Amino acid sequence: MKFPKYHIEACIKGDRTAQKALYTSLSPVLNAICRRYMPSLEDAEDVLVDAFMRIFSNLSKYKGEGSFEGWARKITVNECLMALRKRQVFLTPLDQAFSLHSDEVDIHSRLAYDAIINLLDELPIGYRTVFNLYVVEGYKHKEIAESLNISINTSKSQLIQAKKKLASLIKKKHSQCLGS
Amino acid sequence: MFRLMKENSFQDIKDTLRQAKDIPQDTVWSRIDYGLQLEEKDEVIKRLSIQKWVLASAASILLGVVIIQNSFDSSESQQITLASSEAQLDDIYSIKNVRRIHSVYN
Repeated sequence: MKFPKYHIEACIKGDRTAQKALYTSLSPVLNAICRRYMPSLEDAEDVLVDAFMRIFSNLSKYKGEGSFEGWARKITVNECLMALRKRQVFLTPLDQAFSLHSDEVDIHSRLAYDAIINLLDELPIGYRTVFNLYVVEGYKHKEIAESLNISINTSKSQLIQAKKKLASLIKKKHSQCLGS
Repeated sequence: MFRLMKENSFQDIKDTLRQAKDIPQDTVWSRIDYGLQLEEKDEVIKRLSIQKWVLASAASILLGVVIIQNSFDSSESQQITLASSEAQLDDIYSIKNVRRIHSVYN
């Protein structure tokens, strides 16, 4: 997805048609990110609005280095994290789960997007956020710990718990499918 | 639909999620549009208040200049009044002197 410079400049000048066009092309991707991090559709929608407001008001700061979509994605992820931080969902350390090893977890593949989102909806916010940041965004545990103001061990344990929980949910769904 | 795999890789889930597109509801753009309108209004109000401040400052400076000018003018006119009063007194004294001299000689 490419955005020519003149398009971005038109958005900076407040051209509503250009802004709407930018929104139309970016919103499906950014909405998917919000949906992935936030526990409900309403929360995802609220964060998406905030993310676009931030994108529009910071457009002049985009210097054309790297893809525009990547820049917008990063802003959206940060908005999600800010929204989650406000709820203080990362305060509970889960270091007791650290004895588990990620290698022990069986995982499921090729799930449809909706099915994955449904599974993520069943994860506690902390697990879900760390899973998203580590597995999907590719953050390191150190970066996650800094972003969420938690310890590296908590980040690691939340990831392991997330994988374990996901695997058990997938197994459950799988047996339900076989049963029906 | 769900197929379990034995190897521990989240690659497929990662790929699905990274490529995912989820079209938001129409109300989202309306909310953003409204937010942008509010920001534009704020910007106009900010710009107007700056203009107002500049105008008010210019007016105060101008007023100050007028007051100073007026005070200069009034002190000058006071000086003129004083000078003319002194001249009048001189005249009076000179008339009185003439009268006195006149009375002495008569």
